[in-house]
Amino acid sequence: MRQLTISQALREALYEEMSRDESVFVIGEDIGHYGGMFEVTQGFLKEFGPTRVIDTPISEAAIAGAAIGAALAGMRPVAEIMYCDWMTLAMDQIVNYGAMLTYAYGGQVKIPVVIRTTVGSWTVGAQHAKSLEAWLFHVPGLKIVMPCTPYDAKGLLKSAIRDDNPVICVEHKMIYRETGWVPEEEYFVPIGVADVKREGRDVTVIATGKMVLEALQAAGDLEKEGLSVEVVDPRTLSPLDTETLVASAKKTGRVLVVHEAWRQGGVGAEIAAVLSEAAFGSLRQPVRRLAALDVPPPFSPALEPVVKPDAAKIVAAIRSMMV
Amino acid sequence: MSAETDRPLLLKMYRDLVLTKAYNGRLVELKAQGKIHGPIHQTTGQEAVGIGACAALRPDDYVISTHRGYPEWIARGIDLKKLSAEIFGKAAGLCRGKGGEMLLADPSVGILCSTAIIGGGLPIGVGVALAAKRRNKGQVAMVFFGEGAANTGAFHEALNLAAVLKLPAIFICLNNQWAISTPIWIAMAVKHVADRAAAYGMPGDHVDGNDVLAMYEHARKAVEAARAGTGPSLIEGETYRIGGHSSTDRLQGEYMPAANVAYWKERDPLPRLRSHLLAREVASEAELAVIEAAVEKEAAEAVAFGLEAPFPEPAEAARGVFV
Repeated sequence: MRQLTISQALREALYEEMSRDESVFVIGEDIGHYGGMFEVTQGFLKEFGPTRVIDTPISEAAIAGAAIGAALAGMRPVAEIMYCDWMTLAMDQIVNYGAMLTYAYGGQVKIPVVIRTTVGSWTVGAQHAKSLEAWLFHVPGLKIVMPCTPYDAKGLLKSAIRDDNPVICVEHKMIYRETGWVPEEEYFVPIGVADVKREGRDVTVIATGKMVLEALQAAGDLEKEGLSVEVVDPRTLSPLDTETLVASAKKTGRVLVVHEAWRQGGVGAEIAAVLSEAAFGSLRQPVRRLAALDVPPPFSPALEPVVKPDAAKIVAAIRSMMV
Repeated sequence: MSAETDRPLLLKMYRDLVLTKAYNGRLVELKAQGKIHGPIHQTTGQEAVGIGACAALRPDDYVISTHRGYPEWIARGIDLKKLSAEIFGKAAGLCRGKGGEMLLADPSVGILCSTAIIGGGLPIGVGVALAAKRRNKGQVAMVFFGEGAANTGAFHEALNLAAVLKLPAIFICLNNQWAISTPIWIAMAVKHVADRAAAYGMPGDHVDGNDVLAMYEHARKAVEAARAGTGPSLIEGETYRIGGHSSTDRLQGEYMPAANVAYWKERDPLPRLRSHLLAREVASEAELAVIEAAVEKEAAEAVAFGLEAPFPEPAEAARGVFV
């Protein structure tokens, strides 16, 4: 075991898969010479060459479409849409082709494409700060993973690349330098399996992305007050591991869902509905949600923290659930 | 041997033209009689672009096509019975009835994607060409689109990316001059779609799209260049849509100037090829009659197969989202 950052862990996953299988290649903006906006493909151009590390013009529709087309024709591309905010430019290709063709073509084709993208705000303003995973979550035909630790990041990206279906890998741009233990030997994290990151008895926090880390911090703070907080990380948004989420809800009877995406129509709304359907009898109170205020992300450092959840807000929410 | 006297090539193109007219014509009639679900896009007078262009391909080349793709589907040797079943939404269809006329594929004849979202197939085609280049067997991707697609963002991104990556893509524009009720002369500020090729650094040919031999010759040169590694090119086959956009066109093309329609009706590709075959003594009237009879039979049997085939079981609806 050694300590890696999330960026390093993703890099290892990509490196191993590209070394193992010639049909795996990366394509996107600034991923080659520059090594990736968030350093994930550092050194790849030198190692694998320009036919497998493809720097593109600013053309999100073509990046996504070309990746899907190459997958249709037998390759295993890993495309990058640098900020999920620009996923909007690639939505036709992702939704009307990537998500649909396996079904619409009656199983005659497979689309083994991975699209990596980033979410999360970081004081650069509304067009580089959103979390749009709920848009893709709504579309059948896409798998969506959202790792927040180096262990999960490496394991899930490897699984995503091996999967013969389209997988979106959602990475939070503010946690690329978070460290964690990663085995030396090869391993995979299966898609569709949640992880109880911290066991507890009194309340369940289901969180995604960076909010998992915030929830763990909140749980540590609350432990000093004698509260036992269970933190569950779905790790895969779609397909959702409802079994694990329901089991935790039944165990504690109190659930708080936390995500950095907007509240209205966020993934948390689906989780709350699922728990209401499957665990109603065990719940002592309605499922609560803590999410971003339904406003565009403001730029000012004085405003940005106001709209997002964080450990302090999680603590306050849980306290209010315990009365 | 010149194409003008290459008997097998010419007879194949003749057969394809006759069959496309016979088959598509039957579907248009059936739709008008209310006997089938879903839209039918007529190809009357526009058959030579796809048939001439595809005659330049090898069996292992790829085709990306559109909702009006009958000429290229037939030229590539699609199973006409399975195509009928698909268009009628039957279980025996190419796509188990789940795609329909507007969203189908037949990878066994290289048709990896046929789509009805205008322009969407272009980035997909770029990806297919990317895979073809990686595989290094001289395969090319022939990407069909209409003149309406030449105004989409996807067209711009796709042609640019194909050019900078020097991909073996041949972009074939079926310019039938009408996008539903929108004529090309109000939709484009330049006269020819082919004029735009220079903007992407690729060759652009403007061709009489109703001259199947001219389409073949231009496509052959473009395909050879692509195989040789010199990159993509654009061929615009100018033709005319004789009739409405599809069965969904409530005005059935009434908005089209009668003089234009009459002019182009005189230039139908089939009589032109027929005259050529007879004048150059490539085939006799008797030989052509044999082809015509065989084609009529094939079209009739394919349509009958589709009509008689059963619909899918309800359980099929939930199957096949992922492989």
